[in-house]
Amino acid sequence: MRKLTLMWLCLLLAAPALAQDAAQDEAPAPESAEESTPEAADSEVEPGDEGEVEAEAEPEPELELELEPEPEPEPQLEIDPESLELEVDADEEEDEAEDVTDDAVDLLAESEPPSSDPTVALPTTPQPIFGLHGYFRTRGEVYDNFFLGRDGLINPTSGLRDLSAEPGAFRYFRPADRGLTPAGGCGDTEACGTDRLSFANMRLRLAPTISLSDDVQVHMMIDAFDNLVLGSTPEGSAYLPPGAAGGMSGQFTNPARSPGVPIDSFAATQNPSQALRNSGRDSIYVRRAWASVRNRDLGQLRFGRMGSHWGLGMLANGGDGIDADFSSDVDRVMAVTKLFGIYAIAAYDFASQGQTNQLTNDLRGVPFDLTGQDDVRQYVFALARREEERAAAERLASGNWVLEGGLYYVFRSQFLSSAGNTDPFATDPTFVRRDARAHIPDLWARFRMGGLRLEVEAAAIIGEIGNIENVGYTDDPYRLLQFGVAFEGEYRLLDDKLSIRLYTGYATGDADVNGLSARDGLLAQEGDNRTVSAFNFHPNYRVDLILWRNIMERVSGAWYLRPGVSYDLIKSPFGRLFGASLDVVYSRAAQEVQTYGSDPNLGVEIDFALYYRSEDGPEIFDGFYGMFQYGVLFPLAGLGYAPSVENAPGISTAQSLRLVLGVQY
Amino acid sequence: MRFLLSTGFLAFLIASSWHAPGQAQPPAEGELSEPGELDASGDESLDEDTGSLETPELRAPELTMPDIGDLPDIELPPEEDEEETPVAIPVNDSADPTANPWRRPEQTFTFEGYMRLRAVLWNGFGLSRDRDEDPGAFRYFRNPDRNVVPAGGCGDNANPTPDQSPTGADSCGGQDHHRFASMRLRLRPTLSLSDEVRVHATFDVFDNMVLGSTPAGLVYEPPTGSGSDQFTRASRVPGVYSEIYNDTQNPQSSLRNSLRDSIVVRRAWAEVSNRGIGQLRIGRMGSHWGLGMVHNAGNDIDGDYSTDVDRIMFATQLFGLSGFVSYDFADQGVQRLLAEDSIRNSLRGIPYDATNSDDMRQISAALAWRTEEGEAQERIRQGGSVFDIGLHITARRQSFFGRLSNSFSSTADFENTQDRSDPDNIVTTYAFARRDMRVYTPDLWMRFRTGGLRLELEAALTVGEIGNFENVFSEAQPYEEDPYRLLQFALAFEGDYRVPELDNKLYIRFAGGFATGDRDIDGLSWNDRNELDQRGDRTFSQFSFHPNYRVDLILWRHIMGRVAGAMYLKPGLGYDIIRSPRGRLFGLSADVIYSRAAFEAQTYGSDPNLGLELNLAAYYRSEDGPGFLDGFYASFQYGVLFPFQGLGYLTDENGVPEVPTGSPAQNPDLTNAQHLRVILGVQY
Repeated sequence: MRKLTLMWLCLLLAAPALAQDAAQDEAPAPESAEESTPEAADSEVEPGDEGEVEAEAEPEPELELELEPEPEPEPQLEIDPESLELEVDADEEEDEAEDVTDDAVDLLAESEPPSSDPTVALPTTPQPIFGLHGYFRTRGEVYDNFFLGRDGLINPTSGLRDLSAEPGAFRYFRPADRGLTPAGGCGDTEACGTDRLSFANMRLRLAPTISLSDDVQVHMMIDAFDNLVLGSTPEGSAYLPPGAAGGMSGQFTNPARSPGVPIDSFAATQNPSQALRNSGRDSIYVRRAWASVRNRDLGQLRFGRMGSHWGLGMLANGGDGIDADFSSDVDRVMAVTKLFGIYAIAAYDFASQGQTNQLTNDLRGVPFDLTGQDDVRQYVFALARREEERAAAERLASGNWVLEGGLYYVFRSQFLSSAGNTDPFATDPTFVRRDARAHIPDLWARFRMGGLRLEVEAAAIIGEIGNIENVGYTDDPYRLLQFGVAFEGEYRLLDDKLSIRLYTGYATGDADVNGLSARDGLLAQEGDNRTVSAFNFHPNYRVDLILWRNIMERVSGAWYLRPGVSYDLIKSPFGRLFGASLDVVYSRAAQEVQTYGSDPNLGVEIDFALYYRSEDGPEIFDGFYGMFQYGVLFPLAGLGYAPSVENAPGISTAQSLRLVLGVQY
Repeated sequence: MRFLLSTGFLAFLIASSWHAPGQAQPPAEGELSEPGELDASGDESLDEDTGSLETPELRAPELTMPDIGDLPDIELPPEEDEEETPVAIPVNDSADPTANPWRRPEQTFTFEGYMRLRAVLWNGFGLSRDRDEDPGAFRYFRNPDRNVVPAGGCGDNANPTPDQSPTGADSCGGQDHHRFASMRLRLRPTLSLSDEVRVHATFDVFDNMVLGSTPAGLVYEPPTGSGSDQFTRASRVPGVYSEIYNDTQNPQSSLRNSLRDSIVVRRAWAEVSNRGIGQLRIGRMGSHWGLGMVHNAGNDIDGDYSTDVDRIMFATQLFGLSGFVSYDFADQGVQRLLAEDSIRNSLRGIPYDATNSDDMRQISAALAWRTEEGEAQERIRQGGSVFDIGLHITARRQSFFGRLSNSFSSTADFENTQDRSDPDNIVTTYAFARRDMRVYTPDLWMRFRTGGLRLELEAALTVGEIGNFENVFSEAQPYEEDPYRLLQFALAFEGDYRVPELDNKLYIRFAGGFATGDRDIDGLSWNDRNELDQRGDRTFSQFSFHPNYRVDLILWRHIMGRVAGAMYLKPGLGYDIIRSPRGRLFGLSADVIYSRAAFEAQTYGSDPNLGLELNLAAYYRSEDGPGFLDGFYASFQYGVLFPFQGLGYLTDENGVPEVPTGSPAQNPDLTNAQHLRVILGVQY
């Protein structure tokens, strides 16, 4: 890593000389055709403009950031007419309004924070001094019978239902009061019988960018009320620390009475959420903070905590969508360059530092890693050929095809583990030998022609874990051999309003594991086999509304087939959109013995959606966003009880109702 | 006192309102009325012209003096009839200046700060004396896996039943280095309502967060009452069956996966200026004076510690002298919100101070003769000299020490205060102890500049008395009237010379400092935690520099935590290979630091010679960003410490080191410590 950093330092030192040479020639020489845009040419004049240097440097005025967002940065506006002219010259037959829109969209998109996938939108144009992106969303959810009616089998001895034997995948969604008889009863039947969870949550995401120049930027991502369940922090709720007067020894407690709120029915306001005071989470989280430094001739250096995305997001997913919940955020130092039209990436990730000295009695001190031997170290390399989006759009418009692809490789290793220390603040922890290493290649390819898009991502995880125990050592190494593939095919016609699509994917399963959900614990191997072979998709790569999105949490140990169709009733060139979609998802386990009912057929799900987006805001994706979704899952035998269970009850369908309201900016 | 201050401020505000915003004069061209701007410009020049610090100080300390700017003569605006007050009309709606008489400017929002990533390698900071019996200064840096045998062993081959010998083949051996990286993003927004009214804040994001320290698989579980009475680490997290499966980092959250939150507010304060009278500052703000030996704002991109005070301050400028007086809320003691069950149960309540008896009250004042920086630069350019000088005094007083006895514990951990009206009634909510403390800290600073020469000096004295410093009393340890005196002194000097013949690129510098020691305590490090253990007399005489005033990379910066009880000499030189007038910088520097204890009896090896350290640095700054010091910043630093006998073991009468026994045998010889640092950052 140090070599990498030093190399970058040298490169950046050399860069100004190169820039000066370029300025003397009065013809900046972009590295590639993609960078030869008018924006790049205009902006490259400034750094090399040494002739205007005054003899005595005076501190320049401070940055002034307007409270009210600027609709457009000036440099982009200057560029716009030139670009429009080029567009008109290139194809005078095109509809003028469409040209303007496309161009505006491209230019406006350039002010967005860079993608988590470093091969996407490598910055080549000026950006505003202070840019703010993000979204606000509120989602209403109805989980109807997500536990599929699995109420537990009746214990022949006690005559009671044994819920503890139910897999965590289903128990997780069983309403807490189901089957209980509260004091006073729960209506006519005494016991509560609800099978539905309904709630709403919200998130405000702020993604500001501070740009010192076209080449030096600082980015952040801040989440406020991060998936806060609406109504979850009423004023009557305040956790008492362990041992506090009025509380209990050894645990947090929620007092029965709060001043002014003698009974919870009287709660009149919501307090800010605060971890371990009235919630498990704080009201504001910083998710990412990182800087990017670019040398136009050499490439870009990124460092800090940043998003990570690759291909379809099957393995590394930035989670940037307005309906996203999970993301890959990495502590990383990364270099990106482009050679002969190929992006080359090298990064070192601080994947896990193990035990750190957190200075329990000092709020000022500088925490440090207690030892490097329990760290998880990760190296990332990638090569990708990606067409610059403007050029790709032109090629597609002129009837040509565009083929892109790349290889992403991750190597991860760990020698010792300190995970067995129950005291998270111990400065003298104990260790066990872990001896883990994993090689993770990930191949991505995309082919586009006309309205057709074919995109595929395939990844494998190959490696070994010498010892999976956190306490003690067992000489019984586990091998990792996992494979996953995801495919998306889509064809758009009728002015791109009608979309016909087929998505499918496959993730290897594990015959020695019971269950398919992350909540079941997938590492425990039932037999003598010591190969962990279940591949897990990233939880933010979503293919449905119920089975994989919620019950299993992500695609794992199965394959799915998802044909679908959508039609945009309104599709304005300025971004307004209104349409409907219908998808059918059939899911089948890779290993039938891994399923709950020892049957590979898991279920058929039908998902329907109505979506709307207004054309407010400066960018095409900005504006009010509304979506209504309905899904129904018809579970098949794989989700039921095992055939060996006598008089096993049946399982019932699950339904999902969602309403997403949001504003994206 | 506070009544007087409040009355004074009230009068001030009344006077300010007389100069209503709509009547204030706009600043003259080139005039800076905002203190931060003045300070920044001045310190930038300081940095660029003197290179006085061991690494390039990218953003000079925020507040060297609450300078209220180049105040114009008081000009009272003509009285206007209220009837003639202009009605609200859009600003800047006319090109005719007479149709739109000047009015207050628009609100502006500015950002300053930095983002930094520091990768470090600490090698041998324990100097090979890191046993349990060794002082905390060295033990603090011991690797927990040093000479231990984990389950499975640490050797080449995994072994279910490894040899438990700490020196055997299955031991992790004597690894004694730490290698990690940390980061911080600092945001310093300023909201300006006008030239006279501003609000400032400082936010720290991922504040010195160790990269990779909050992986998805790390979750603290709060006490549940069923098991132990402490926070525990979850052994398995859904989806992360082993650390090798960690595929993302979660946001930092205190007591959920870290001890710090992902974002903290460090400062928030407002300033209100009246051009004829002065400036009022209120809130939590940074404090800096002189070289930063005592009060250090810690604003530089490589800073870690800062002086942040809750303060009400009035600053003014008269007859060329700048001055301020402030009341500081140094420590309010117990708060009612935490004490009362009925309030603790609510998140809505308004906290308030439970009593004033346990408050620590502090009054600060300063007077300085300081040449306005633009004028100073011009005078130096013309071959003249500039001399600045100032005196800062802090007075601190506390009568009682107060503490909640059961705020977070079910049992009081010390004897409780008795109820005077009923001696048998033990008050269980609060406990107080008599402190009787008063401390005075005068701090003198002066600076002389001419040509490429800068000579700067700061000297401070701490005098006072503490009637009692115990917190815990019992029958076995009752209160005793045995006061301690404070008598401490320190001096820091910086001198540097930039050679004009070489375009100021070559600089030669010399720094030195002295802090009184205390022969009645053992050790010099704050990690020894024995600064109050007086063996003999009752005088605390050890002076501690501010931890952010740094003179090296290893000994004082890390092992001791800060300069204390010692003197150091630091000659050095540097050369800026690239020094662009727009701010681009690339250079090299080298410094040698010799350190010697004030009292040999205070050292670990009873020898005043502590060590010799060599520091090398290469630094780079780009010229991006609108500010002179803005841009990408990178620095590579290397340091090596050659420890002397003062850091070694005590010796017996025959000169044989008294090495703790145990296995493996400890080497009586100290080993060198090395430090490697790479800093990548963006300053804005």
